[in-house]
Amino acid sequence: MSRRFLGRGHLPGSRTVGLTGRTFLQAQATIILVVGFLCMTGTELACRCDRKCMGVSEPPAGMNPVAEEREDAALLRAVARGREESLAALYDRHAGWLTVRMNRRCAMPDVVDHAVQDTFLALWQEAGSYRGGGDVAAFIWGIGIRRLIDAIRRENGSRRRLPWGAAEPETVVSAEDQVLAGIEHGQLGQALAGLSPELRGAIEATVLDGLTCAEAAVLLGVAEGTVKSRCHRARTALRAALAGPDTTTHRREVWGTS
Amino acid sequence: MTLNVSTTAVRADGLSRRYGATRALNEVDLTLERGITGLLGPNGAGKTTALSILATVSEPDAGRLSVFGLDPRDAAERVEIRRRLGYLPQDLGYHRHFTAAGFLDYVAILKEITGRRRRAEEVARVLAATGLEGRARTRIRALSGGMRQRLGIAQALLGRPELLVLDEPTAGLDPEQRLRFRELLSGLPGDPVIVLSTHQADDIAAICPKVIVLLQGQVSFAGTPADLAATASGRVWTAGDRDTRAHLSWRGGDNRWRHIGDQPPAGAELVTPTVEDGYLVLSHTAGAR
Amino acid sequence: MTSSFPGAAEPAAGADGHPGADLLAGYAAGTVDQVVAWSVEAHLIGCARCRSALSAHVDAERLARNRSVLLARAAIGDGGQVRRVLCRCGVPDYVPGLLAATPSLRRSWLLSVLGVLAMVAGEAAAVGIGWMPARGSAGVPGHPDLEVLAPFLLVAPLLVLAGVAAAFLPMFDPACRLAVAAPFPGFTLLLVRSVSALAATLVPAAATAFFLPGPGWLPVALLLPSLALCAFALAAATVVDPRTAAVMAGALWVLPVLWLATDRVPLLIVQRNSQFTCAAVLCACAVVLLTRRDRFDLGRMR
Repeated sequence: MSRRFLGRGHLPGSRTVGLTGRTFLQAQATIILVVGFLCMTGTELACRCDRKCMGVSEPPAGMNPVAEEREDAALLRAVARGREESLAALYDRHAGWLTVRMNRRCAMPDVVDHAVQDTFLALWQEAGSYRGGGDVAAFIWGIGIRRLIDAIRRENGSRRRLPWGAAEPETVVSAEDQVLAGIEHGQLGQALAGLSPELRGAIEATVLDGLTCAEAAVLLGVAEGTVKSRCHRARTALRAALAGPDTTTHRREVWGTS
Repeated sequence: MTLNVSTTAVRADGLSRRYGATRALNEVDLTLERGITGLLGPNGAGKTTALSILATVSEPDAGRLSVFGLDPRDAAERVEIRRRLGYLPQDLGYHRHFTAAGFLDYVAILKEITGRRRRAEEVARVLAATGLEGRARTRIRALSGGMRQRLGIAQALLGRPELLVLDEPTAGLDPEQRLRFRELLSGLPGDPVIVLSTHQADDIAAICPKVIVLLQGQVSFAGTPADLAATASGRVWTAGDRDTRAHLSWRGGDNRWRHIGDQPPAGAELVTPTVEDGYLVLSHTAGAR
Repeated sequence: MTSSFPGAAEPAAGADGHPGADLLAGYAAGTVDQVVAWSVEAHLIGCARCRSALSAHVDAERLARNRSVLLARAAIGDGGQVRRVLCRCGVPDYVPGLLAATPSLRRSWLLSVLGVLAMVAGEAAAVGIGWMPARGSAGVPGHPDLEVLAPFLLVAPLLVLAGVAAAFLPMFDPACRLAVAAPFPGFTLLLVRSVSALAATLVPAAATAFFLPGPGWLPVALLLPSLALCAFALAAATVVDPRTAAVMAGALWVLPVLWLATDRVPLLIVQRNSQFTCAAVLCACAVVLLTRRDRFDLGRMR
């Protein structure tokens, strides 16, 4: 980057050259200005066009039909490519269960609504991060639960009310449910059912939803230390219940029948 | 929001405005109540000027305006009026690189709707109301003229305004869209004050319980469409042929001539005048002055 | 009859089965036991049929409402990285949305600016390196042939002025009547647009100045004149109509530069005395602008 000029060349007849140089310079400046201005306005006008100009004729009333893809993975790939109809289709298929599942963890319907919207928005922006392994629904839930945590945090820690169905600590388990839990879940189910609602809530958050203790604390509306101690107590209780003396006979009962 | 004024929500007294040598408005008095008021008049009658003054976009040279009891000459009250205002100007231009939803988001910001989520809710609401949900992501330069007009109506509806000022809202809309527009206007919650300008009399007849006729910068008539039609009673007749005594003649679709004039010939077949007939009588009278 | 369904907790137990309609309804209403609910949830992760069956038990209006808001937000767009960076810097929420409507931040405009700067600076640099013969005789001792800087000095602040003019001239804002009829303060809108246009145009101009032959303080010296010009244009816009204001500001710069160029001392426009003048003009115009800022809330449509 040279800051020095090639000599102070006084060309022969410099006075004449000087005059010509001056006018030439001014002419140059004018030309540059004019050309530059034309470039700028030209590109702007080309983009802006006449405001009375009719756009292209109205596109056909029906939107591009969603391809007959029944696979959620294919829908996700389409969303990653920016197809809005695929996002709508994905919403129609998954918003129902997502809303219900979130409702069970947070009793504030506005927060749940925001979280559901944020989940699908996150899908819209990050559909490409789905690597194809595992259920799409599990992928969606993984995003969804974190959006729910964020939404709850934004609500500034208003205390989460217990979800419906677990209102009283002494929930009366119906006979039918007992049978269901007994047969279908076997021992683990019974052991889980024997836990109190707070311990079950902690297990649900940390084990089933895969949250960290900090995130579970936000979801449950308690302190992080409380979550840790509840998990510990739950684990102890489960171990004790599963190590009971009736293990072998119960197992044979369940597996023996067809 | 409760108002402590009676039904008169907007009152204008003696509005005058001139552009150079032409007087666009000449001592115009307007009274607008809740509900739909139509402003009828030919091009150049001052409709656009009147509406832009009502929308606080222009200032009158003389006269006073009161919108919901607020005076637009005071800066703070002007902002308050604008918070309750929805305006569709004539020949609205759009940033053509915007998408429909992006443009509505921009206008929502201008209307001081804070929060991205709230703005999205409002945008979704007006898109649904004007039937543009499928076009939310289309760039405006790819929209047809009718859709752009609907987009203009949609932006006026943002924020649930209490005063809607619409300048030629049905321009460029086909009959089906005009029908949907009428349904949209009559179905707006909260009973806002709506004033729309048009030069199509059938729009007026269909939706406006009150009509004001502006001719050459002055109010020629203010009343119901039925009264407007009645001003032409006894002056409209049909015949099989031309009639030179009529001021206006045209051949209808049924191949009979319709005539409007001050003195129908004796024994002429008088017909019930329409709103358009009344308007034509008025404009002819004003033109003759 | 109770239908059985596999629970995830016990992989060895249970044959194939799906929760019945009653169970799904109970799950949707939140009346089932928590452990049973866990089983249902684990099943739903893998079964599309039951997922769609469950949707029938969810409030359809709520789902539809969320759907339309979701699609609106997806359509409005995120603003991308720029918005995230700006929000982290504490910029208010509405600024990225307003900037999207600023013509001076469009790609076409920025490319044009770069093109013009490149042309002007390229020629000056070519002379400096010696590709083109120097014209005219020496001007300021120690910095010969600075006439070649005259086009650049003429053009660079004018480009900045043009960028800011695009922010307040009504012809560049197709929806200007909407902006006037809206409660958002006109002055804030103008400021957001002008500052962003200023930054977007000043930075390339200053960067180009590095490559020019001449004194090393040239890039910095462009700052005050550009700011003063823009402030003058904005302040004038509160007094006269915007187009006249822009033209006046442009003339205020072009005439002195051309006059000094004819005297072969174009650099004087950016030397010390001029800098003081520019600073004074800037302060005066800033005061005028602040006191008359409510003029931007009135429509000037003629």
